[in-house]
Amino acid sequence: MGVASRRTSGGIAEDATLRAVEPSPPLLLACCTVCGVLAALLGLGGGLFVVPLLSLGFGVDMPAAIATSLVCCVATSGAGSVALDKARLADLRAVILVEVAASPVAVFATGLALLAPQALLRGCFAALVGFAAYRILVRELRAMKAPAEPTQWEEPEGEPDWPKNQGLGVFLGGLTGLCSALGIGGGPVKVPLLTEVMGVPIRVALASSNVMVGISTACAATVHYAGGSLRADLTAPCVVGMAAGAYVGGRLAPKVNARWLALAFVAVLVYMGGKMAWLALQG
Amino acid sequence: MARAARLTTWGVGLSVGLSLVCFALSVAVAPEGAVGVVLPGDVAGGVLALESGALASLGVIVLMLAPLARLVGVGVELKAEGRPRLAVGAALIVALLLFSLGRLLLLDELPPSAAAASTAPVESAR
Repeated sequence: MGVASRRTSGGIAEDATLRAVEPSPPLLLACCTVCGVLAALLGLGGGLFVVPLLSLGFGVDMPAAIATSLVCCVATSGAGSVALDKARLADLRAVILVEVAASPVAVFATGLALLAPQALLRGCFAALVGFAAYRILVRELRAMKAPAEPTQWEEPEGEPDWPKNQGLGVFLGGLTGLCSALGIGGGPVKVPLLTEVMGVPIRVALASSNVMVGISTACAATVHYAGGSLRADLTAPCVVGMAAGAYVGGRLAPKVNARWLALAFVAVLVYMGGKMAWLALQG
Repeated sequence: MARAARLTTWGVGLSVGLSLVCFALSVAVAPEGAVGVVLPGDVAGGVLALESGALASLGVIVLMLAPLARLVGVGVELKAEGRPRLAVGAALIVALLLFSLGRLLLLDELPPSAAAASTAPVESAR
């Protein structure tokens, strides 16, 4: 940890320079409920919200923020995959091909991240946030130009011709496991991998990515559990809040035009990424 | 195969639902300040005493069963579809997750950052 961190009398590290508000359970519950609603409206897992909320908003040190975010991702992925099971959209072959590489990388990278200085973690997180902002912006700009997608998914007759480029998919899948070391499920990275490299249709890719996120984040979360960076006072209210928010957001999603919300979120991501990068440069 | 898929969905749903109950209870009984999680071996006693750290730990452990159930279901489906190599891939990921969870059982204590706080909840940082 950098010079800005300190320990409470219980031995838990917190960041003295960042800490603005006491992370009390009711406040975390309320903040994470809002984050859960926004994440569901934007089609995200929530890691991009939870890590900056805890790290920048409440001054929690990065390993604890990442550990909390990982458990939130497992919960939202599990709940989402149960909902998606009704359509049975996920492509199991693509899931295993990517995860067989991503999960070990997630475990290894998380182990390394526990030893890494906070500045490095913040720098990597800032880069990932910048990439996610770029991906969301591209997605929304494409959606503005493209004609509306059919609402009903028609399963292809016979054997589908995906996943393609399986070797490259496995290799790049391994790299997506690095996201878990930063507390993010990796949806903004896994979905483009599935659609653009492996030729999986977007709806199938979204469902498959949801299943994948739960697997790699669970592997990474156990490393944080054993490493002692998981905190009950952060994890419990965040998971409950995110789950409640995701449920409300899921109900609101068909009624809300999330395009302008997505563009506003890109601006927020750029701000958060900039702040993380600034803190990383300060050490 | 449809039965296996249905069982998987039930397993994942049950795991997520039960973990949310544990987390909600943990929030309800949470003391002021930082609280760490506890090792799986200490969960039972802590849950009976309604300790926030133990309830959250139980929530995390139960939640980890969701991807495990999903992977077992995926493996069974892939084997039934005649894709044994992919089923082996699913089995390998299950083994990795079980190894990571099993490692927790072998630990004598968690590193100080969490363990100290789980036994002595603190007031806000000075």
